[in-house]
Amino acid sequence: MSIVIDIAAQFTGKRAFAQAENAADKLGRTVKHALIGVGVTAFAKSAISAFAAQEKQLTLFKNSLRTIGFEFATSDSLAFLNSLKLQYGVTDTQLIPAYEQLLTTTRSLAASQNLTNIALDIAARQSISVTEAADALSKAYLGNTRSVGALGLGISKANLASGDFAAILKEITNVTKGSASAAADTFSGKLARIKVAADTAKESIGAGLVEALMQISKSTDIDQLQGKIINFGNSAAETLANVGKAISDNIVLIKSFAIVLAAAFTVNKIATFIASLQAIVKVVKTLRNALLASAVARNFLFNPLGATALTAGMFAAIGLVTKGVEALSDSTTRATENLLNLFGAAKALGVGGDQGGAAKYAEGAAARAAADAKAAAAAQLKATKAQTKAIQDQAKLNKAKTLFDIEQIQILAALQNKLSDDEKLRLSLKLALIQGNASEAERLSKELAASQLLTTNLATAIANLPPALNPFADWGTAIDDILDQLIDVYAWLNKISQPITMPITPARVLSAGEQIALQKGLDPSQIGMGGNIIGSAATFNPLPTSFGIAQNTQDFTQLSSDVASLFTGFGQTSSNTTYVYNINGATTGLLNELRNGLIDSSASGSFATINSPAG
Amino acid sequence: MPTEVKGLIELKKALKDYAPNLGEQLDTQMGIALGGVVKKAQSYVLASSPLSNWSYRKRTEFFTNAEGKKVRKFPLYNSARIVKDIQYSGTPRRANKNGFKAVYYIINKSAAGAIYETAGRKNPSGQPWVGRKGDPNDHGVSHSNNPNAGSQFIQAFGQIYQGNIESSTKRGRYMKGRLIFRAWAEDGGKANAAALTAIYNVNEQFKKKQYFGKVTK
Repeated sequence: MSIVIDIAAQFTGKRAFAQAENAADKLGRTVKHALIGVGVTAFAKSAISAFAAQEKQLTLFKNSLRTIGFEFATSDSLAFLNSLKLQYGVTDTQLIPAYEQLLTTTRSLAASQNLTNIALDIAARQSISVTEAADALSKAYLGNTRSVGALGLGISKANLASGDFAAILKEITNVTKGSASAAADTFSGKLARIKVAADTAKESIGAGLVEALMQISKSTDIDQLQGKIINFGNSAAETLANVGKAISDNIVLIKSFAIVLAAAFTVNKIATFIASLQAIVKVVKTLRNALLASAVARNFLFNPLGATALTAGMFAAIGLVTKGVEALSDSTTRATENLLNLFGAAKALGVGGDQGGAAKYAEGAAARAAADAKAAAAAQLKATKAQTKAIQDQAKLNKAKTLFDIEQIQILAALQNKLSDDEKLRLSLKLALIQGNASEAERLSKELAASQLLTTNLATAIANLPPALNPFADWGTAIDDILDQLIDVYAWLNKISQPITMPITPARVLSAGEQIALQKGLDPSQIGMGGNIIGSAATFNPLPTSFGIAQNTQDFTQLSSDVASLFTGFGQTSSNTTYVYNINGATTGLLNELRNGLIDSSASGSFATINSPAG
Repeated sequence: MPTEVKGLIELKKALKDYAPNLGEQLDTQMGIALGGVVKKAQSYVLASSPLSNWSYRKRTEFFTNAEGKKVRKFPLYNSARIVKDIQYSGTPRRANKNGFKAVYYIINKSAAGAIYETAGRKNPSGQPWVGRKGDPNDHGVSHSNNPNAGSQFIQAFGQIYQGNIESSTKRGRYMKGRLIFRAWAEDGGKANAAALTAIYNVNEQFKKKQYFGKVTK
């Protein structure tokens, strides 16, 4: 056993199923056949059957009315019932018996029509047939309220027991009022109404076909017509021979006629069928005018296809019997009108629309089919193109997206490098534009604009600068001077490569007066004595009159030895004379030598005054 | 639940005949609406049997009873099969005894799945125990040697969940279950609303002029 959760269900009890069978299956097939199209032959058969059934029912109805004395009201009653069936989508098979029963019971046109309306409401509310509802009402009218009570409308037992039909009817009306209209407004109800309209059209077509067939075959009823059709087999060979002769004699006309016939058989559209009948009528009239009427009528009188309703139509046309042709013409007109009504009804119901009428539709059926095919092909082509374009666009977008990504990467990489502020600004702006950062892009664009403005001013200022001075313009004179000086230096160097004779002023012993002046802090020169006097010397080694400036280490070594010899005995206080040498050049080397000599002297045990530790 | 949609069957037939594209659209929308519940219900199927000896194994599925009748054995727990057989459908079922024909429904088809779904729904402590002495054809009692077999069997399955939507045809306990009813309860009626909305929308579209216009061309 399966476990089920029902989401959406429909009540399809026994009664509901029967109703659905009527309202859906038959309806679906009928509407489908009527609107979309089925085999013309099948439809014609169905039309004949429908017409026959309706004819029978109407005959019985008329007979019933006549028996109860309401024959005069037949047409009015039928008009009333016709309006009801179109309004509520109830078929004649239900409506006529119900009305007939009510009228028979009440013997009042007004009451029966009122009760029929109530029966429709009851039927819609309780999902029963109109016939059942009318039967219950009829019985209640006659005092038998059991059936009405069994309807389950909640009628009070007191009213049912009393048998007061007026009171019962009032209660029923209160409960069921508007149910039929509401039901008719449902989808199922709308389909039912369309079905009724389609059935009416079908019956009209069938009526026209039967009438035409009977008139052509000079039959007074269907049985006689059937007999004639059955007898056709016996004369088929002769008929066919006559047909062959007629065709060969009238090949041109027959050709055009055959085209129409082919169209009638090949195009599975009711409307096309109707239009074909009209065309057939036209052709047949032409044939008649060509005095082929009698021959064709004889040959086609018992057409082998006469058993079908469609053939009946052909039969009528080909037979060239004036009445038959006219009847056929009339039937096609009525059928067209009915189909127009059908489309009109569908439009009014909001479920369809008049597509220009069946005849109009039929006229352009082939053209429309071709146009539809062309349009479908064009639509297919368009869809293919659109799809191709969409794919191409997507490819472009993907490519562009990739480029943007690369560009973004490049910008980010570039920003890592050393850039000027302006370049950084430009790159940042471009990055912001790629990333769709509007606020940042706006800010950066403003900054860039300002930067560009500044740059422009700078360029203007630079453009207005005077020509730059040549920094080397005066170099010629300077270089000449330098060269002259170099030449002098060179000459001087040549000179100093010779031993330099330096005049040495010999120290002299200060006079007594000068010594006194010195002791008193006076300048000896102020007392008229020249020379540099520092002290007095007891002994004095004779100095060389001249000595060369050291030009190399050997020379300085020589010089130092000279100086050392000069200072031999220096520091001996026995001598009061101090010798001062004024020497130009190589002072540092000389001092070093002096220092070294003093150190050596100190190391040898002499009193050292140089580099002695501080006190 | 179920919601009665008058004319639904006719609508489906009409869609099939006149507007197959619209019919496909309805199927797609129903799939979206009900698919989530089905997926959720499938996710509640345990990967392995809640009872060690109930696991699926290869065996003959039928045996002949003492009366010579071919009888199906108690189904074994096959999680893959259970998952596969939890579905939604738009194919009308046979009308129930009350005359309602389910058109759209979620179904747990497998026998083992149905057992796991509903065990303990009627008898939370297991069926009344009679042991081997009872009528073997009486399936309303426990024939096990273990008087507590039913209770233990049910306890191993865990909690049973109550569907949150009252049924017009089912009483409260008939809306209890561990798989589809649990998923249905947790969905909170969203799938139901989506399904009915889809039906309504398709019906409205079908009634529009263009569809009949197409038909009449």
